[in-house]
Amino acid sequence: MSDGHETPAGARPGAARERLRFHEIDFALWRREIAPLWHMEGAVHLVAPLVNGYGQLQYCGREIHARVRHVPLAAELDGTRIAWTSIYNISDEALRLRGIYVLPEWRSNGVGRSLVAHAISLWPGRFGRVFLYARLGNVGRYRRWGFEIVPGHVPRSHRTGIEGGQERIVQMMLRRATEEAVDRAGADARGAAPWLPP
Amino acid sequence: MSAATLPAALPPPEPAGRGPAFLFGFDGEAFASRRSPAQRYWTEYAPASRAHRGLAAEFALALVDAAGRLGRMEIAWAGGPVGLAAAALAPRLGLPARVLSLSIDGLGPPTPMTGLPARRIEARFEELEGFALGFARAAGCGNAWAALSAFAASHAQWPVLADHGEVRLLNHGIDERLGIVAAPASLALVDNEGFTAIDRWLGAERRPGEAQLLRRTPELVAAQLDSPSSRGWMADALAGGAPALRAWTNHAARGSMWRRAFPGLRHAEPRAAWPDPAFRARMQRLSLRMRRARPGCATQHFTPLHRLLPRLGLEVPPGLDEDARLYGRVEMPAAAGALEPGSSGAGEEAP
Repeated sequence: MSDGHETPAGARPGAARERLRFHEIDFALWRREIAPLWHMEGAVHLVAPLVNGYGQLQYCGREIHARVRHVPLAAELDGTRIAWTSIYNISDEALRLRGIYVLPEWRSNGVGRSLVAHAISLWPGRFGRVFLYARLGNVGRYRRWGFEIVPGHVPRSHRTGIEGGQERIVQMMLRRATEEAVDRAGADARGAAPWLPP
Repeated sequence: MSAATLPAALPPPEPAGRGPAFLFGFDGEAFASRRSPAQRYWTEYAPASRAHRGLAAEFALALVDAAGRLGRMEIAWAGGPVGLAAAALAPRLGLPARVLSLSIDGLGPPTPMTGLPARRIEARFEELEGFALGFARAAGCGNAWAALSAFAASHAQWPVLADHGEVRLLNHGIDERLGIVAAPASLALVDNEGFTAIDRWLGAERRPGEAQLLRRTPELVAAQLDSPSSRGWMADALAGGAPALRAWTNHAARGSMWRRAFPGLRHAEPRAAWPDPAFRARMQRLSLRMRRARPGCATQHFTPLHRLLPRLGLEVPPGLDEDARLYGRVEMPAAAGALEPGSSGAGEEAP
């Protein structure tokens, strides 16, 4: 995601967040619509149903099928999907967010944060940690959402689907015990966009 | 045989007195073929029932076990350590076996001189290409080297023992492209979907054979992981002092493991047995064509070593379970409760 995009002409940004609806969608649909995040529009079939995330996934064997619940999600505004993410359990105690993509014209409106908060809220509190891999340009944003870089982890290479293209990514973690802090961060975010409803 | 005609579940290898030591599958089906790109590939290892007796002894026991199931067998030699060790041990163990070696356009590893009867197949690259494209469709695999092993096996007149397989360990903490330590060590056993392509091909062809000798018994898997070479690699990776690329994967340690277990044999990776640059370039192009014929089969399954070692009765080295501390534990299924998000598991609040 990046900043600096304008809200579409005619839209009322102040009302956008409250009109958002979140839906679990079919994986095939999800991967087709989120593919631009990874520049994989021409290779959608290569978007795997699960990724291990450099050792995040603690399940193995048949548990991969029986115990990992992958939830592809979309945020819908007035019947149009404008943002996507997915979440799954990497153990009996932790979650992974995979892919956070907001259409360019709807960025910086709190849509991504709302979708992520919804995704996490689907899970019982015993899933106390949430991990994601952030592109370096997004680290500041996720920090405002309450994530921190995992101690001992430094930026690593990431193949994006662009021929020869690489970006650096780093693993971040949110402790759900700090969800109050996340709410505060959300308020801070709204401070940057005061038209968002509280 | 096209993928569409494959049965959903292929016949599993017959267990020799107990359940299979190694399973693979897609979603809820074991020993199956991929029917959708969205299916999840997995592999699973049975627990060991006794302490292992070392790699050489466990390899011999697994070979006898396989021979008991296959009867007389043809070792489809592709230049790798499995075929070489099997060919060397079979006559000493009195097993009915012979060696099948392969030459493509005059290239290929020489037939190992082990005292077993041997046959050599002379083939053209075009024949391999034709076979490989069908293999890609039947087995869902875009790896020409796996197709080469299967091509050798396709010429067997007896039940075949494929010269195939490795126990590949990986340290997720290493960024191999940058050559840096990017995170604390996180060690896993890697099973590429392509590693079991030959199993799917054998099943589709209804051809009796053994493609996973290295995973034939839990004790043989344990012996490989517990070998001094594997243990040394784990210790180096966990200590963090080894050069990044050496700490990334156990490639060098695998060679060392074979040399220690069978010091009289000249072991090599199967690909090293086909060093001709032009041949390797053709194999690379063939892999591309195979992937176009049947995209997919690129997934990997990782078994965290801190979960696998105890299952095999092996000691867990200090620091190996740091993954579980960070990413969370996996409880036994009976105690885990419901995993559906939104469900209220035992003692958990509904969201």
